[in-house]
Amino acid sequence: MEPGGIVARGYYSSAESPPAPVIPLVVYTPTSRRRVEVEAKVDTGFSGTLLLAFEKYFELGLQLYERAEKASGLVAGGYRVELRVSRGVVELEGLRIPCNIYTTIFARRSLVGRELLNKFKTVLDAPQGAVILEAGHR
Amino acid sequence: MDEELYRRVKAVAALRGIRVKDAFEEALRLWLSVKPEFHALAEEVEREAELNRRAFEKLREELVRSHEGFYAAFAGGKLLGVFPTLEEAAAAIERVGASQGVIEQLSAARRGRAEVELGWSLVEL
Repeated sequence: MEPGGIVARGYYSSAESPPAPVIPLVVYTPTSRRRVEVEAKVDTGFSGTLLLAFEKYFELGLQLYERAEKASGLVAGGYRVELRVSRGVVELEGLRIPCNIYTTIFARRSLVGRELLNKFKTVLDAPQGAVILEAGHR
Repeated sequence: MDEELYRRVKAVAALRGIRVKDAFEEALRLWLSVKPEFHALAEEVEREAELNRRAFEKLREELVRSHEGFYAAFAGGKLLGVFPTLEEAAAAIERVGASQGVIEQLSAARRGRAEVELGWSLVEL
């Protein structure tokens, strides 16, 4: 991927007020036999890669590829929730990234977090309603 | 009620400037927000996961000695095999039609429980 090349284009979802940045991505199982399309909210408060809504996680069958140890999710305010941890592959406009994928029974939406976002230059252009991930310069 | 749990609830409620009663209502709303079918699914998968975790713990040391770096696949509370790649381990679990599977890359170094920050976006009340 060339530095500056666009990896993903998202938008600002007006389902929330004020609108929230969202990136469309495709998630595959480790064998790539199954896939699910997801609109993930950009959440820099989430330190992981991708947290899938509970329904999407099971729709994809990610419970088949879980780690033995669950993860501990620290919610703002000091709460902790147990997270299931599986493995999958995230695809952003043709770029495939193997990563850990999390869920919890309370997850109703999907979030893309810093561990994935920090691989790129993220542009949040709210006035234009655009979200762009670009390959970074090293 | 567990005294330590109550103490923590009280402390966090104070930090957030809310009453303990409001914290309980918030917790109950969150609990009710989970669809009943999800509870059933989570319980079934968790039962299977526990069997697989126990099987892994029982064999961990032996597998690490013989196959460090490989991927061990468990389903139905049994070791399905040890594989050089994650993809092969995943395919082995798919072949047996399990309801849950565990895959661990074998390493002498024990990882502690991973911690992930979630912010507030996870929860919708």
